Amino acid sequence: MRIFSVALLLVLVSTWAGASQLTPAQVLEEADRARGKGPGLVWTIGMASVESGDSKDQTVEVKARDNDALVTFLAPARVKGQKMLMVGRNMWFIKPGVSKPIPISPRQKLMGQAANGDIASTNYAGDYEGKFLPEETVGGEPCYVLDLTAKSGNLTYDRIVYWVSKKRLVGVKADFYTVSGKKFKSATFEHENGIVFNGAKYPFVSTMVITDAIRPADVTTLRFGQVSVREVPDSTFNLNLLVK
Amino acid sequence: MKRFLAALGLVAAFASFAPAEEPEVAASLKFLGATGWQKPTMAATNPHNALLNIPGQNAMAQARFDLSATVGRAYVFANQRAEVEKAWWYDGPEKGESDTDAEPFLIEGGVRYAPYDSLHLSVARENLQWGSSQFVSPANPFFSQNGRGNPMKEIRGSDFLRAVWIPGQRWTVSWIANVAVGEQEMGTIPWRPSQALKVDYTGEETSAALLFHGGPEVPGSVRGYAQWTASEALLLYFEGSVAEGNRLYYPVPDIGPTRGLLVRKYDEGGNFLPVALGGAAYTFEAGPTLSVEYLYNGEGYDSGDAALFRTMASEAAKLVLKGYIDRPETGGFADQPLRQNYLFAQLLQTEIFGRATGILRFTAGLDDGSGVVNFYCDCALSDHFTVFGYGGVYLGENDEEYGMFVRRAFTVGVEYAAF
Repeated sequence: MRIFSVALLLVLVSTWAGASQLTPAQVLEEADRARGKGPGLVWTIGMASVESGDSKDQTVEVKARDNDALVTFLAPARVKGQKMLMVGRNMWFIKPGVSKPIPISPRQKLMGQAANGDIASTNYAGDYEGKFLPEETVGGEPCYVLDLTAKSGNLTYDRIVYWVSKKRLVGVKADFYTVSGKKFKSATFEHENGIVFNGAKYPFVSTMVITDAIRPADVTTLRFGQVSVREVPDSTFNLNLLVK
Repeated sequence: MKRFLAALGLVAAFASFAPAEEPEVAASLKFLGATGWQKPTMAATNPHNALLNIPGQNAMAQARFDLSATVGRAYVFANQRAEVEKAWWYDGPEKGESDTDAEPFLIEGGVRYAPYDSLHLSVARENLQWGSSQFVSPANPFFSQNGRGNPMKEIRGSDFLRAVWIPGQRWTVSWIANVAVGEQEMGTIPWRPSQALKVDYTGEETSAALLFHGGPEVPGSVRGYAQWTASEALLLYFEGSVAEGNRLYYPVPDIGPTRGLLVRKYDEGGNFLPVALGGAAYTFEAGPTLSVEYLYNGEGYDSGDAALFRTMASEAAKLVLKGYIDRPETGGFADQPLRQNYLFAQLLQTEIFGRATGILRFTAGLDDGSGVVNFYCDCALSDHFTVFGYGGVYLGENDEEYGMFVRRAFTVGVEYAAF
């Protein structure tokens, strides 16, 4: 009878533990939604970069749907109208007047330390294989720590260490590594924006601060404006229709 | 032209039935000023600059006003330009003279209407470009220039009717009819109407297109391109075409004073002329992107053609110098490669000190060993002002492709973006 009770207790404990233990993929899915992966989202980003003591500002509008994104430069005047289109891993840069779209690689920089993949929607759950590292606390918040390895060779980052809040399931910090294994930049995230989708409210990224690991004085700050959920048609991401 | 305007009116009428929504309007205004110098080669093909009459200096001022509006399912845009150009001659038949030309023109503009999200109809003056290559664009039958070598110089649009059908996220089918020359600069090849059917595919890390093109007076061709994002830093791409003839001019021997004639040898069809370009672009961790391309130009001159062309040009130049003939129309020859085999390399660096862009290009004509080094750079002085410069140094003997006409050229300018 005692053995039966102990066995029942063990089954109950293991069942309870399994129900509350998320997998790395599940954690990433939740965190991805807070950085743009969804049915159709439009938001603006103000980018402020300080590099070698020189500061620069740009404003872009991003229309995203799942893994696709269209970035339109709104300011300053000299870059206004330029566009960047991301369809899956394909990327093109379009400049008004020079209408042949320029194919660019995920590695090419957008501005300062911000790479193209930093401002578009993220798909860490689909692009990376994650495993848990020991949990840590960031800013007083207990976090899952995930070691992410790229599933394919054509992603912006080959390896990321990603801190995700256990309570809010949003990313709070990330370290990005080169192919050689060297840390080359870090980022922190705030999620003061929110979106409503299917009747539920979800947090959304409001600020991303990217710091150069070698030159810590070089900092790029991305401020994400209010996000709107709306239908974004296929034509938005069609290169044939990106008219001047 | 009348049909173009009628179609424009028809689409505008459709647009007027769009639901009354707040229009989204975007506008920008820029001013450009630039001056450039070039040194003619004075070779046997252009002695004393008599044949080509290349100006020694140019200056240009241009206003660029772009306006667009989205109203319901209609999108309307108009890119207006006003340009003043002046040229000075330091040698040749117009030595010591100058010429000024001023014109306003609509470089691009039109209306697009989407009765459904998957179908877009347009009538517009456009500069239609596609493909991944930097050097030339064999996949494009409408425009021989792709503007990649000089980001400040715009390509003038031609008039098109287009129907673009998007059956799914990955596929696009386009019917494109070039109905009028618009503002396109054709050079020596007269414009003729033509149509194309284009099918595009965009995958997760690949994109490709196949295009069928032809017209009543335009030889048919099959063209295409493909691109693969092989890694986070490496792009591989291909562009090509096979045409059943073309409307280019080729030298043929003749007993006349120039010893040859330029004729359109292949405009009757029946000759399949392939053009193929393969390339790769790699972005280094430090930032620059190196592109390397090889071009086989089946439409180019072989060594016999090239030798006869040089002979004809030098004999024609002698006749022009003696006053026996007028200077012939020569524009357009520099727009496309003359020979058959080329190697191209480009180094691109953006975000230099967060403000500047630099491009260095080297084109090698493998058939005669000549080449040209081109460069472009710009630097943002402020949110509104950008200074830029571009030019080229032509490496080759006077009887080689890149040494025949110009020895060096250099332009500097400034752009002010008002809003």
